[in-house]
Amino acid sequence: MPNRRRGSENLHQPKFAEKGTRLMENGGKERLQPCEKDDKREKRGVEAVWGMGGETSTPLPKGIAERMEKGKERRSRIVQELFKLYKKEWELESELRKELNELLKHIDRGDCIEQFVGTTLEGNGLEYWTKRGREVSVEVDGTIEVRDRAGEPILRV
Amino acid sequence: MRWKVEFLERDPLEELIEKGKERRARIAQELCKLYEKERKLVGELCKEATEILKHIDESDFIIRISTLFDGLEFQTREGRTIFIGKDGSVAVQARNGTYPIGQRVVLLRG
Repeated sequence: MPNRRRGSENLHQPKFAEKGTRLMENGGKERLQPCEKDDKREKRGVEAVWGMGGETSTPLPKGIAERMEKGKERRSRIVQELFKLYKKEWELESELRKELNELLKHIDRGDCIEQFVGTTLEGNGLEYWTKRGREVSVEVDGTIEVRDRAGEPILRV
Repeated sequence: MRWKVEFLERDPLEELIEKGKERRARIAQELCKLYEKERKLVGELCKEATEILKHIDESDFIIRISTLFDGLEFQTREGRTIFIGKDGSVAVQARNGTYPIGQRVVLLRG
């Protein structure tokens, strides 16, 4: 039987240093890290850090890359057109809102338009909700209908 | 016997409504047209965003569309965000904040 007493030898100490490590005096290992890459980055400054994102990302699949490049102009045109529409819509909505607020004042002084709901289900007008829970709809022929919380029509002209 | 003719006073509210009826009709019609056009354009963009999303995750789909100052944002069921900018650029942001497709700079303070 071999002698396995602990005091006779240091079991934790490796007999030879592994690649990329250095043995220390107390028997521990010190990992040697390559610093050349970091040095290069430090020399290049902030631009190098920005570039790191590009270094690590994987290339896009061909299908997506093609699609993204192909429709860029078209997408740009659509988004710009949409923003123009939004602006025009906002102008018209605020005009209509002002008029409806004026009308609501006659019914209830403390009430005003709170939210635009959208077009009616039939698609023949616009619907608004008021602060006090009334529903106002403006039809495409200019008719205004005001309903109370219960849905009962208060005014239709 | 003399008859006295009396004119009933018109309701100011009714007058207000009658006065702007044509103008309101014009605005409402124009708005309906604009909404229709908007729906069509957003639909086109949505189709394109879905096509890109298919390459990343086939089971994912768009649940919400919102407008930003520099483009449109499509949020998906799996927590991804697809951004289409005014310049036509596309960026997909994953749930953990990384960008698997494209990149986008967001100003934290204006």
